Parts: sequence; structure tokens; C-alpha cells
Amino acid sequence: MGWRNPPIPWRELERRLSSWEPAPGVEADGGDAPAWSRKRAPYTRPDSLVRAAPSVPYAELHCHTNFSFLDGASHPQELAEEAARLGLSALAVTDHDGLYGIVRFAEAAREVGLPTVFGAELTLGIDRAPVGEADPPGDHLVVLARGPEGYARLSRAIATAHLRGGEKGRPVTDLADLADRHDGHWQVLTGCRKGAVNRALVEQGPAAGQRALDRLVEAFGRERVTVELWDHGDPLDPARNDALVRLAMAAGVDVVATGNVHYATPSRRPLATALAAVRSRRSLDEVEGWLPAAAGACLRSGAEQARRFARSTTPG
Amino acid sequence: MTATRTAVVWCADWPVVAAGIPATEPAVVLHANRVVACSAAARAEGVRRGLRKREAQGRCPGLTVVAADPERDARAFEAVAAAVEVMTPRVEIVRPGVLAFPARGPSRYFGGDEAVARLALEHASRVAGAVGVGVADGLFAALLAARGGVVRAGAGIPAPARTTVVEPGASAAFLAPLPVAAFEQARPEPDTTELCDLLRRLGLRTVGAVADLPPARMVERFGPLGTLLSRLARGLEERPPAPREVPLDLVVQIELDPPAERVETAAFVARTAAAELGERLERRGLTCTRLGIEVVTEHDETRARRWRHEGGLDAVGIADRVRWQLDGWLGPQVAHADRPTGGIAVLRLVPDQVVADDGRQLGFWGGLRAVDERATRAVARLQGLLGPDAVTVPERRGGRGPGERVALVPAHGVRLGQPAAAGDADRPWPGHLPAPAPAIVHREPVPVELVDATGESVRVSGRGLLVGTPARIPSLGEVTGWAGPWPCEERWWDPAAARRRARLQVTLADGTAHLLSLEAGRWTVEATYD
Repeated sequence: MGWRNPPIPWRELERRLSSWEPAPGVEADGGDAPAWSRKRAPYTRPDSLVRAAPSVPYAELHCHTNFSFLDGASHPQELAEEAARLGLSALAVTDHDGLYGIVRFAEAAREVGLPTVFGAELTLGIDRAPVGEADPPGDHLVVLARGPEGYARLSRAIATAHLRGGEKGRPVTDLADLADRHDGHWQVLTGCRKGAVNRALVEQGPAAGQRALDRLVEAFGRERVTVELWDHGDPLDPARNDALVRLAMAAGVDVVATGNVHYATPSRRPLATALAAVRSRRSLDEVEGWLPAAAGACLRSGAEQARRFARSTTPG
Repeated sequence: MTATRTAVVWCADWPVVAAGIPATEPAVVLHANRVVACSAAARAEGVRRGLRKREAQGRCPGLTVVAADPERDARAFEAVAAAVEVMTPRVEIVRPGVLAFPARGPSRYFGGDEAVARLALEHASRVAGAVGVGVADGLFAALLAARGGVVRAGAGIPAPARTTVVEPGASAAFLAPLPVAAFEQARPEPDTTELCDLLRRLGLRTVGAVADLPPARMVERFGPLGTLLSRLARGLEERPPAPREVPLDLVVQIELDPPAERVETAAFVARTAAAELGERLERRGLTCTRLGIEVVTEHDETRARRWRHEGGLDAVGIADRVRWQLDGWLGPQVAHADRPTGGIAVLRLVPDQVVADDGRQLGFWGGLRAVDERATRAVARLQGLLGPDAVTVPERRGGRGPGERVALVPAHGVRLGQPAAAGDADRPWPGHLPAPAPAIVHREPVPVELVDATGESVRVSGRGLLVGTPARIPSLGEVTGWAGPWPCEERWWDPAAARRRARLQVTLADGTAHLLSLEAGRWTVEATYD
């Protein structure tokens, strides 16, 4: 980026990149910040939306909205609509360290008739707010609430973590803390590339991965931990999934396929990469070596996931 | 056993003298923009070795600047060697500017070390500029004695025309107060300079301090070079005396027919001979520390000269010295009376002293290895033959495709001996092609078709899934297995470089494996696995 860029406010940049039209009837600024007196218009379901009948039942359990700041690239409404279009059984919203996206998501989901799951992807063990880093530190853990009690406990855990950190973007929590809070009301997924299990597996091998998984089982219970598999079309995804399945079988826990979703459709990838560049404070050229190769992190139907994972388990 | 009584003739500022510049004129010899030698007059003005050209000119405006040329140095030094040779036949050239001969015989003949030193000084001074002669036990002590105990010509101008004789058995005492930089005189190689620097930082500032250390500790910590320095410091020979008979079959003799009149012709043959000798030595795990170069002309005149090299000479080093020596005998600068009357008919390379090649010690924290160094020199040779841009070396790069991870860059822009990697090579590059890397990356991807069992083209959907089941590549054979597709959409922000493609690994019925790439609806073979 040069010095001659015009001063564009963030909301304008975001609006242009995501070609998001402001709700009709709202002038000048569609924002819903507290200082803005206008109320946000209620969500209206687009007429063209048709909820498909699923051929393969599938619920997406790991999905970031754009309330995962500078990470997710689709609005909660967009994701709800796309999920309905694909005929998903349910969609879980799991933003980073917060439940921010849930209100809009729940509104939209109700309108389009989509069952919802609420959760969050918690960050464990960071010592600083990850500002301007290409690959932010910390272990990730996806927590899904099993009912209102689980939601309340999750909300409390997040609030406490943020208060403890005393700084924006730096929640402080650990496995022991979370283990005290769940009381069986959470379902825990091992998370994406940055989950403790994956990281241990990739960096230190299966034995370390097994130990990381055992720690989760000890903290949350065998029934409440699920090993997460995903396939974004990366050459190494099938091999990693195979290894994760072996870990899960050894630990006696279930596996689940997710999409590790960051945007609703592949067309959002340019936005997602631009966000990644902004987050890491690099130009797109500089951040290229960290960007995913393709638009893999989109929502997928059950049938599509079934095809991907069929390939995963019978390679070549 | 004490070291051999050795006399050393040292010509001050030899590169300057060899360039034909009188010592009274301020002059420097530059290599890679650094001063490698300067005349006494320049030194008086504050010019020092290691300065940049501009710094040197700043201190001494009237400076004459000459480029370094080892061949010129060696060529001119032959005259000095010939002058000293009238006293003793066993003259050995240590390097251009320094020659040595065993002092015991001449000393008995001429009546003492002092007399030998004075005589050598007299003979050498006739053809060289400022000369120092030293006699001591061992080459190292004798060399330092020749320099009058001055390790680095600093503020004081080394007094020309002097002789120093260190009494037998007193070499260690003579060396003890000298700074460790003295070792660099014995072995002017980068690793010695580095080790001397390290010794200084470890608090070992003098040769004596190194001599006081148990030799075992030195070898433990610094390897063969440590042993060498320890021995030198204690006034011993560089290596323990090894009464090893030089095997006769190491002598390389080449007969030239027709006899070579010109240096170039002879040097060409010499290169072959040097390679031959290098290979013979290598096969026996030996290295040559003293090399005799002998020629016989068609009129049966003989010329012979010995070259010493502490580190051991490899094929390239041997070839260099043979060329220098031939230049010294046959070059245009040689007076007519001194020239052989006929062309060279026989060239003989006699490894006069060989030792086991124990390799070079790796730096404590890694570093250059002998192999790297050899590769570096080979590359430099090739550059000399083919031009600087013609020689390329691979460099690791960032990227996802097989052809993007490594690029060939001109060798002169790269520090050889270090693994070259562009700044983005160590980034994760998600979605890059996993190991093993394909053996062949096609410069021009080969267009192919990929069809399913019914002959329909196989495609990849916009969501990254195969449409159709690969069954056959008509031009190559049946597909027996595949992995992928791996979609790859790169640089959407840069219209000139944006690429959207999907890769697919396939194995074929004939056992070969290929990496296919689909771009804009067309399949190509991007790379082939062996």
C-alpha cells in the first residue's frame, strides 16, 4: 500500500469489498453502533431463497462470521441464507472469543428456518494481543453450547477471560479454568489447524497429538470431546485427517467433519485474503506466503462434504 | 625432536614490488576493493591493509593503485628464488614473497647461521626490494624472525635489509611474546584468521599463551587447526615428523610432443597433470604439503622448484602453482639469458611431502566445509570460462507449485557455500505441493488430455471437486490412481500474475507418476516423478 490511498473509513472499505447493500430506508450510514440513534432494520428473508431438501444430512459445526474481526468474511445473515440454500440440518456460529454474531445470526436463521447451534472458538494461552501478526499465537478450542445452560456457562467463561486479560483482544483462560466451568454442558471440538491436538500432531508427531487429546478428554469427558476433521483441498488434508481419525479411535472419542468455515461462498475469498492482509498489517504480496491456496473455507452441503471425505479415506 | 633448522627469505610488500613499483612511491595493491598490500611510502602516510580504496586514497592522495594478481606475484618471485638458489638447491617457495630452505647444510658450508642469513640477504636484495632473512627452528619461527618479529607492519616501517637469527632451541621463547595474529603469517587462510580472532576473544593474546595450553585441549576444542597452532606455538614443525616414503606412483610425468614453447600450451598440459595428481592423492586419502615442479626441455635443460603449502594442495591449488611456475620460467619478463633454449618436453609433478588428508575442521557452529569450498571454486572457474551470468545456482523460493520453490539465479549474486534462500522461502505457503518433489519440472508444460472411462474430459468444478473419474491420458496411458485435485488460486489482486488452477497427481499403468495441472480448461503435465 502506498501513501496515496484516499482516506477510506473501514465500514466503506468493508462495504465495497463485500458489496453489502445497506438496508433500504437507511440513509448515509447503515451502522448500528450505540451512538447511532437509528435502530437496525429487522432481517428480511430474500424472496428468492429456497431451502433445499438435503440428500445427505449435515450440520456445519465450525463457522466464523465477520464478527470474528478480520477473520470471517461473511455476515451472519449471509451464512444463514447460504446454509438454508445448501439444505444444512443446522449451522453453528463459532466466532473467536465471543458470541457477538449470534443475535443477527439467530434472527436470520429463524426467518430462513435454519436450526442453530451457538458456540465460540476460544483462544488459550496467549500472552499478548495478536496485533499485526501473520500467524497469531495461541491454541484454539471450539466450544459448542448444549442448551441454554451451556450457553450461559460459555458466555460467563468468555466474559471472565476478557476481564482477566484487561486488554482488547487478549482473553486469558486455560484448560483447567474451562474444565471447572463446563459441567457437561459443552461439546468441545478439537478445532482447526491451530487446535492443540492438530498442532501437537503436526509439529511433534502422533504421540504428542495423543497426549493433547487425552488432556482434552480429561478436562471435558470422553463423551464431550469430538475430533474435528476438515478438508479444504490442501494436499496434506487427507493425510492429516487420517492421522486424526487414528488418534480419535485410540482415545475412544467421536470424529466429526466440519468445514472450518470463514465465508459463505467461494466468491468471498478475495475479501477473506484482504482481511488477512489487514490483520497482519502486510500487503497482499507480503502476506501471500501465509494465505490458503484456494477458497476452501466456504459452506458446503452434506453431499459435497461426503464426496470430499470419501476421497479422504480412500486416497488415490 | 626439535624442528628443522630453517632459513626464510621474506620480501616485504611483495605484491607491490612484483607490480614493479619502487618502495619510495606510495602504492597499494587492491583485491575486492580492499588493500592487500601497500608500499612503505604509502604505509608512512597511514595506509593499512584492509582499508577500502577510497579510505586509502583519502589518507594518501597521490596513491598508485594496482589490482591484485597472484600470477604476477608468482611470476616475479621466480627471479628471487633463482637468486637464492645459487646458495642451496633446496629452495622451497612458501608463497610468492616468502621462500624457505633448510639451513643446516648451507650453515656448515658457509660458516654459521649468521653468514647464511647475510649471504641470502645479499643475493635476494639484488632482485627484490626490502628483504628480511630469518633463521630459526621451524618454518614458523624463521618466518617471524625474517619479519624481525613484527607481526603486522603497523606504524613502524619494517627496517629493510636485516637478518635475525634465533638460537637453536630458542624458537618457542622467541615466539612467546608475539600476538596470536602471527599464526596468520604461517597460514594465511580465512579459517586461521577466524580462529585467531576467537583466541583473542577467549583471552589468549599471545603465541606463548597458546603454547601453554595442553595440546589435547587445543585439538579437543579446535580440531586439526588447533593441533597445528599448538605445535607452531611450541616451536615444533607444523606436523609431527612422519617418515613417509612418498610412493613413487604419485609422481605424474607428462611428455609433451611437440615440446611446448609457450606458457599457455604448457599450462594447458599442466592442468591435466594437476588433475591427475589431485586424483591420485585423493584416491589414497593424501594431500600434498610440498610439491616439486620439474621440467625438462628438448635440449635436456632441467628446471625444478618446490612449493610448500601448509593446508595441503588440492588439484586446483596444484594447477595454480604449476601455471605460476611455468610463467616464472617462460614468461615474457624473463631475461633472454635465463630462458631455456628449447621448448618443454617433459613436465613432472613430484609430491615431495604428503600427509593424510584429515579434511578441514567444521566450525564449532557449522560453517564452510571443504566440499562447499571446492564447489565455490569450481563455480568461479566456470564463471571465468563462460562469463559471469552464464553460471546459475539454485535458490530456494517461496511458492506452491513445483517449479516455483526453486529458481536458478546467477551465481555471482549469491554467497556460495551457504544455502541460498529468498526471504519468503520459509513461510508456510499453505497448499504447496508436498514432498517428495518431482524429479522433472517441465519447462514448457506438456498439454495432455485427461478423460474418464467413457472418453469424456475430466474437469474440476468451481468448488474444487473432480467432475468425472480419471481413467486415461490418451497420449500417456491408463490412469491407475490419483490424488487431488488441489485447487490453487493465486494473486487475484494482480491481474498480470493471477492464476487459477488445480493440480492432480496421477500414477499410470506403466509405473510413472505425473503432476497434472488444469488451467483455463486445459490439462498439462507440469512435472514428472521419477
